[in-house]
Amino acid sequence: MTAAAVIEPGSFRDPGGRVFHAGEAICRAVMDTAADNFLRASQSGVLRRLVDQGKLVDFTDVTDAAAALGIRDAQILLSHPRIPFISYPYEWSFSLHKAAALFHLDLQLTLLEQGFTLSDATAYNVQFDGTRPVFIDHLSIRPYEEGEIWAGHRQFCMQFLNPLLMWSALDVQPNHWFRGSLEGIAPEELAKLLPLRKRLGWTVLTHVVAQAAMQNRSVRTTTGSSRYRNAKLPRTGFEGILRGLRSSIAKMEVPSHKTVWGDYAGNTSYRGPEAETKHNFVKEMVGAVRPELLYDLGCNSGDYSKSALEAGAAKVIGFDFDHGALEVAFRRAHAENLDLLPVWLDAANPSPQQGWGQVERMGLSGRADAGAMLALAFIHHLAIGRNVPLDMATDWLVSMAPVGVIEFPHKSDPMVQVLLSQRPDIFPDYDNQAFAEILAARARIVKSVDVLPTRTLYWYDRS
Amino acid sequence: MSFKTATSLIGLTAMLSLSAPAHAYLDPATGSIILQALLGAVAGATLFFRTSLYKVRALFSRQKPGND
Repeated sequence: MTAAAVIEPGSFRDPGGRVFHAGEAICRAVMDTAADNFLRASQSGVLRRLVDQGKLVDFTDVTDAAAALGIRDAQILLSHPRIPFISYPYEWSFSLHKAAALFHLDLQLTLLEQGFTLSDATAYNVQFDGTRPVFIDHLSIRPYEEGEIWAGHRQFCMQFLNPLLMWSALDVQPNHWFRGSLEGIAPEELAKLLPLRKRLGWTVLTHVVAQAAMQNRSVRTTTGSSRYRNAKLPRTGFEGILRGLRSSIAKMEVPSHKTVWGDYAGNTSYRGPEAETKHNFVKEMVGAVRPELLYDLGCNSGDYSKSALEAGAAKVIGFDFDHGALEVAFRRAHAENLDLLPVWLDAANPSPQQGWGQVERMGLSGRADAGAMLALAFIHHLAIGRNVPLDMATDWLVSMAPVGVIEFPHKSDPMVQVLLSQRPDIFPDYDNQAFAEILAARARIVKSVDVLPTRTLYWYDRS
Repeated sequence: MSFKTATSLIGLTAMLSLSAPAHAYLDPATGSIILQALLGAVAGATLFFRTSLYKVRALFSRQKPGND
């Protein structure tokens, strides 16, 4: 750790600490204002226990190295292992969001038992290792004071509860809204959208409808009073609220996903002879590269992600536009303990760089360092489904990783014909030979195979 | 109307009638704080009730000392 430290632009909100990138290492400076709370948490053993249980990212005291890294003002300096891929709540599927919410509540309950609490409830502090949630902000953990109000309650509602209610009560995916409103979805806004019969449950009535009413009322009355600053929440009440939210969220389901299960189970159990060829082709490339991180674009139910893991990829991030597919992939990754994180992606409009200074939250490109990628039966969705010219679609795919496998469905392929069935064919350049030339101009084609008369697989390498 | 809904409505009415003070400082989380102050008592009581219920149940469902 000798490289000069660079500030992580997403870590400015808590003045008690800053996160830095120092080469491959991630460092966290603990300032004077936060040092006391950190030491109390650290000395009580609660942090180490959470690390041992896999619930908190590991930390090592490297205060001695602070000067060499050019970090001043740090009372304590911590070093953390790097998380290979940071995901954001607006990229999560329903199941990931639900897992993160339950994890947050469980963490809060565990901490409370040991005399500690969380100073906020931001969903950005939960990351995933495969499908397993892990907490990344050590300085959010601080001693609990008897009777204190749950500081993160509103934030919990905006970033966990309300997006999940959009899924379960309205059957609407919250990703677009959340991406546009990085603080989450306010109770005052959600309350207006919920039909009467959805408002009558205890959780919605209290945390959404009542909170929204009180919030609106407090904003309308401008004659200030500090009486609520002294409001108390007894510990049993706090625990009761947490447990109530937990049991309510644990029961949540998405109505439209129920029908999806059957469809996917039927589709994924079928595996034709061409699938074997595809699996072998993928495994050959992955076996040669053995990437630390692999992107599977259009991962569907995670079939090929799993093959990639078996062939030597250490970690796979799967991307799909279809939330039904993501749910199937999540269940598989969770049940089989795969190091696969399936997240939502609209490839024609990937997550941008945004937030404060337009750098607080990273865009998809450049966020992580994928060693290899798969894009199987994916490119036609961009080139024909979204009118992206074939050369531009290829540029984007090849930019995702230095090595990869791209499957090109020919125009005569039934899947392409489905996309063309409702519209005139304005894609004279969409052609297998043309694609081969476009790809060859950008990378070396290591190998190609016609997996079906209408599908060709390309292994490219631009490294 | 189900029992649960009725309970919810009674609870809400009780809470809104309690939230009388019209003096609120401008703070983005005021609604949350008022809610917690009111909900805390209800949630605490529910938790206490549930815990007690489990304890009582456990008392009665406890198996008699083994006779083998």
